Amino acid sequence: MAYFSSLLAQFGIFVILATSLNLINGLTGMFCLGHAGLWAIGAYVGSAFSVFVWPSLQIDFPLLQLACSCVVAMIASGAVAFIVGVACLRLKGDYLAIATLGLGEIVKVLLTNWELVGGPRGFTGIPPISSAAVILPVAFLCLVLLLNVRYSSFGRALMSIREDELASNSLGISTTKMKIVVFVLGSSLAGLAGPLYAHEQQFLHPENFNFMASVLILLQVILGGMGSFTGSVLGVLFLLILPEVLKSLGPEIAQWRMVLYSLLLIVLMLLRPQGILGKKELGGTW
Amino acid sequence: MVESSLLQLKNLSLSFGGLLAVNSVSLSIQEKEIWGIIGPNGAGKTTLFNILTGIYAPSRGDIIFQENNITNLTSAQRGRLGIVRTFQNIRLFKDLTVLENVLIAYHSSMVKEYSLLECLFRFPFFSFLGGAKKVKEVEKNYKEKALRLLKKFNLESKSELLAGSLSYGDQRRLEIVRALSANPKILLLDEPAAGMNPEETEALKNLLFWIREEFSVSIILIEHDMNLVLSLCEKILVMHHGNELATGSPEAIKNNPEVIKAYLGTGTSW
Repeated sequence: MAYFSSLLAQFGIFVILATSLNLINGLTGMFCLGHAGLWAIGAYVGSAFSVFVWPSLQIDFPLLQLACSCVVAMIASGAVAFIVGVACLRLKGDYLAIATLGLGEIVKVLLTNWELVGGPRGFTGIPPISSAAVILPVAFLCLVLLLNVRYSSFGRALMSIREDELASNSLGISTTKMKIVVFVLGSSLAGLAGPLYAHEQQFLHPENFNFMASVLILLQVILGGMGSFTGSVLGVLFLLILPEVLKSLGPEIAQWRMVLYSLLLIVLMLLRPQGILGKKELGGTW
Repeated sequence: MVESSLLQLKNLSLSFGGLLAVNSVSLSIQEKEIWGIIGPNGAGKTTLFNILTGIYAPSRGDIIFQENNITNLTSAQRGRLGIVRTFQNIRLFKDLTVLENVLIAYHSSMVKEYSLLECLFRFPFFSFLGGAKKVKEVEKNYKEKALRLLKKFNLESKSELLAGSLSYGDQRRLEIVRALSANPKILLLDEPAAGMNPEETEALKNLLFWIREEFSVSIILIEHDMNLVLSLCEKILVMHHGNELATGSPEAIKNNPEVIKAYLGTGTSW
């Protein structure tokens, strides 16, 4: 039961991460490779707030504690994204990818060397105030918010940046400003996933937020379909839940699970190179 | 100049290193005028458009639009003021539908009617904020507006197709529709008749006359089809090696010996 609820929590966390990355990479067409870094900032700042600041306020209300921790985390991740965004968003394609990759690595190295939050030993003693019961509704809300953006003039403007930034500019859309807003919004959602994750796991380690974590989130987005938020949910199901399901199917299948998993990925990429849903959303228009 | 003009270029110059792409060009365009810019390839015509729309900053000179100096404004700011263009190599949003292409051009008008917050919080249980209904209504209004406009260009039946799947002529027309939706005061068309046959070009000419009246816009077009330019434009600017070779009415341009030598060529009767 604990395993199942922890799996559901993980699912919710990655839905938030994948959909928010999809806003940046899929809908707007930027190429951000440091999403785990922004998630880490949220997780560590939110937990630090919860462990060091909250006890001195002497309020015994766990849900409020979690909410405050989330708000602090979102502000922290959003602020970092703003600084990085203003500096980097004039970069395009591969260059933006390298810059954001650098951001992710810098965050990881800083956290490894910061003794206050445990450094290389990891951050322990985070109160267990988050669970699947909180995370799943938040993830759902996040998905709805992003679909609201998608099916509005703002969403269309973002897609126009992805399609042709020059043309979009010539129609009076301030593309640079919009790109910064999107980067900050997407990053603060990654920040939101931080404390939700930290307070469920009760333990953080810088290695949880390494480059492979960013790649996993990106894979979920690409597999589900760049620009499709419901697709990202399917991507998470596929890349996070499927290996667990294969594991539970008995020892014979379990030992072949990585082979099966890789095969499935190859087949999927051959049949649907644009991702499971492409650019469409499940359920049609909003 | 007694009456104030819509758009004025004052001694605009742009050099790329040692190459003077545009050399001290001055123009004054009145409301509802149709201008043509002609000249050999590499004369600086498209570069002039790029300066006008803020893609390049001029090395010298000023751009005055409705009595304001807009030389330092960004592309997007100029677009919102009403300087809107089409591109020589069509730049539609190819993976979006025809309707979405038009709606995107309405963006700056639409965001005046609903804010990002109103659009974010439109759930059934937040309806007391009024966001859901308002956003839906604004979306519906603009969609109808876009469809009406598309209908006038015979593109209504294709509104749900991807823009990239349209025929070449339809793509050119859709780009004009999209530019018109951005609420322009001056429309810059970069070779709108390129690749069109004589009948299509004739239809385009009538369309442009109609657009001028219907939307009260000035039009500047770059074009190589001399029949179109001479019959459509009221004023013509001839460029050559970045210089302003001649400016004037079609009659004057047609008989200007320098223009004939540089661009039109001898031995042809226009």
